[in-house]
Amino acid sequence: MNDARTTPADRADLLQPHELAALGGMEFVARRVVEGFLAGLHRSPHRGFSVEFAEHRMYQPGDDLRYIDWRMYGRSDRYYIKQFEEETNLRAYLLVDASASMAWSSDPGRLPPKLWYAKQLAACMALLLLRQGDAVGAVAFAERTTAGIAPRGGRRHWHQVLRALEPLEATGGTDAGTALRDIAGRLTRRGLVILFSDLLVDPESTRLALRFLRHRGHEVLVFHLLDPGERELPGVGDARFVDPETGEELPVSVADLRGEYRDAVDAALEEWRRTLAPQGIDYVVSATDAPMADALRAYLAKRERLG
Amino acid sequence: MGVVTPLFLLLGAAAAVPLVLHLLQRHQGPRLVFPALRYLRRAERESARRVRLRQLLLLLLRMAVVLLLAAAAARPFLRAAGDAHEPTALVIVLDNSMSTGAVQGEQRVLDVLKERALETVARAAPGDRLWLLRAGAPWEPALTADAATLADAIRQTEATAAAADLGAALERAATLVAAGAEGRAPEIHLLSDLQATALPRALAATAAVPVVVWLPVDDPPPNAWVSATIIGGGLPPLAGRRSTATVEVAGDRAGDSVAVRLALDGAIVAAGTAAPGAAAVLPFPARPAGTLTGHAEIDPDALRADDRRHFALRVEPPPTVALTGQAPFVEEALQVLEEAGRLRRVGSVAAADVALHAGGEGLAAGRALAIVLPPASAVALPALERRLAAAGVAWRYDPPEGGGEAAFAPAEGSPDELAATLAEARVRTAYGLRAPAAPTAGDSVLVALADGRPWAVRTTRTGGGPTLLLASPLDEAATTLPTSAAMLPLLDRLLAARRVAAPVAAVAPGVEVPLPAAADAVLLPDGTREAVGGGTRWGGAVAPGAYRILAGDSVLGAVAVNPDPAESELARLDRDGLAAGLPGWELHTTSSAGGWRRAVFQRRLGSELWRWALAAVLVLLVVESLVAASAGGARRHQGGSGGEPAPTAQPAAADA
Repeated sequence: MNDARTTPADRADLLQPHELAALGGMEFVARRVVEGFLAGLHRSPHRGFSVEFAEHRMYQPGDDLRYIDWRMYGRSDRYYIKQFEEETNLRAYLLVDASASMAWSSDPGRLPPKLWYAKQLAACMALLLLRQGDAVGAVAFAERTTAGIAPRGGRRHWHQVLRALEPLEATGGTDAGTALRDIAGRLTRRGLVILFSDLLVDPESTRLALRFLRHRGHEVLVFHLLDPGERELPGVGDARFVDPETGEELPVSVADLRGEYRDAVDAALEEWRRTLAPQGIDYVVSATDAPMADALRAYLAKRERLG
Repeated sequence: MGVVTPLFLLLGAAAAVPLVLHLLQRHQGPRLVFPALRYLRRAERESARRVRLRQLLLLLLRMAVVLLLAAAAARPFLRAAGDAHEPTALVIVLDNSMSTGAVQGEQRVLDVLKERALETVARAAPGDRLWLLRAGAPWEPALTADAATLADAIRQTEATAAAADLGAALERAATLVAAGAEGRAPEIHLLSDLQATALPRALAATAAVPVVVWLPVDDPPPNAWVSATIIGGGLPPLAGRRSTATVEVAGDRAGDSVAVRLALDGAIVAAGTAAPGAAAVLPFPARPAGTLTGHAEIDPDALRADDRRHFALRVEPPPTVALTGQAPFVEEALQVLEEAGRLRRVGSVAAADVALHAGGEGLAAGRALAIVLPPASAVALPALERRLAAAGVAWRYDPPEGGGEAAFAPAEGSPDELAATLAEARVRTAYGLRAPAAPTAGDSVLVALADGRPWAVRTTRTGGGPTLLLASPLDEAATTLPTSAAMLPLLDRLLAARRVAAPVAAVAPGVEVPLPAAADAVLLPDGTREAVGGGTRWGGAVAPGAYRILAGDSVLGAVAVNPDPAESELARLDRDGLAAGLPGWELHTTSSAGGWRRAVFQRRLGSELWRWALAAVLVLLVVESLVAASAGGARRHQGGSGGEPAPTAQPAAADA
């Protein structure tokens, strides 16, 4: 029960991203985040995974105490967790946007780039999924999809996921619609598709591709990664704003457009939410200065609905 | 509206700075990498019109702030507010011509004008320089004095008998302020009844001086006046002989006859009636030889000064006349005139006041009037030339020129009866009258032909006697005169030319009168005696009336002073007429006492407005801040939260 005594200060999932980045590499950080998150679930209102028992495994910190087999504890004086058959049926695909815009940070000394946040979040998701016995695959995309790894289960597969994510560099433009259609073609079994992107994409083609995924029977979870500096224009007078993907330049008097820009961002987010929700696509806005627990909790809610 | 320091208005050019910055602004600023350009473009597209309006509003506000600051620095003030004014060089042109003596309503026009002038003086400040120019007394110099002295002068101003020339008065006033302003703001006040005849011709502006004009709006009162008094048809009466006086009446009371009276030396001698535009012919009683003064008058009306017209004349005994040579028509005419008592025939040239010399026969030096009749034939011209030379006459006769008949030159406007009778006469033969290379002073052409050739010339001969040279012999072969009605009047006037200098004259008020060498005093119409210098020109005849020129107790002559009949025409200029008569002048007209008080002293130092301008600047700056803040509110929000906006992850699709 050591994990039950974990204090909030020890929970990496509640740390700010820049604090997480200081902890170490992706593997260490992701593990700490997931462990912290699982520890927090003891106080979470969420309930268990599924219903049909399959086998026991050793208790690990973060496991839900409801699934401890107390009889086995009585017999062996060890904690075992009951595992269920359905947990191993889910195939998850992690799609990471690696376009040039993902490399941007409004405050490089304090805020990580969106791509770092996406990779870290994907690693955490992969660990959670694998621990639950799900199969996880990962694919990065920019203008087109890059080589990824196919969905597989098992603890050791997580390291392969990490090795696929870790070297990703943000470059080039974004064609999410094409990438998503490409991935849809590769997925032979229905599964869970988790998209990590700043969604600075062509909205129509992207929505069409997401609906196509849903049409193919996939569950879709979209993490809209948003740098706080994208919610508000920077505190300058006049500036020429340059798109890092297209090089397009736009001269703007910031004072004149500040309010209108804020409204435009809100409208865009609302538009994503409004158009995706009817399709059964979960849409989560993840700020890159927010703890990862928020995003993980959103995933967990989705996972619970999947059973 | 005016400004105290106009140079600071140049600061207003700085208003171009916000404009230039506004035009250049959109092309400046740092280059920032920003991935969410999609949202930015959308925001710009949706708010482009609003942003442009806001930027335009900000631009206008900033330019207005700069302009108001420049205006505040220039210290603007309202002219219309307050009584203070800039130091002003002011000429008050007060029209006191005869027409301003007209009574309109219950008040003389001049009194109204004086009230306005006194109001002006009452508002004058110690730093002002003031002149009073009386347009009705052009012979007076402009009076410059302090306000109190000037006010007294205005109160004492009375209407003269002279006519005003407003154009000349304005030119004088403009010259005065130009020369004496010494840095003060120039201004002219024109106080006049704006009689139309006072501005007979357009006068273009000669200086940029504001002219405040009192513009009477009422119609002038009806007026009638004695326009002329003609005694004896133009010939002075002879001693002991009765004559007639023709009194012409003019005015705008047509059909309304007025009583006409004739007075000699203060006593009324005849009376009659005449309607305006007509004349009354009154009997002129026989008078002894001497200087005679008198007047013709009508009943008083709104303008009294023109109801009486004075005259002065010399009553002389009939002249003694002698005729030498053969001139039968002249002989007969002299006989008729003698029978009428107009002359007395004598046989000796030496005993005659006037000698007529047919063909120049008997012409000699002397003091009496000599009238030379040329010979009927040009053959006799050399003999005439010798006689002229012997008598010291410089003029010469040339043989007759051209052919056919010639008419006499018209004498338009002459009241003389002779002018009308001469118009009917014709000249068939006229010798040329050749002037000497060095004409004698006083030489003149008395009568000329229509083609300009002289027909009767006055000159002098040795001994100082006046000499008349006629170009035609007075016979029926040379001219129709002997058989025309003009013969007798012509001889009558030729005989009247015996006077060396006119002892009587009729002049306009203020005109200088040449005095005889023996004169030592002038008896004024009011009975006072003014000492004068003989042989000088005297300018004291300003009031209407008869002035007697004295040498001790002897009367040498007389002068009748009457106003110009045109001054009696009271029709006024309206605003358009005034503008047309004074093109280019900066005129400010007013017809009310309140308007006058507001109009005078144009450079009014009213309440200064710079405080209001600064207050407006502050208000505009607040508005500018609010407008700018409406655009940049988020910037302050971001700064106020320590740059820590808190967008949060929200599962927007939960349970959707």
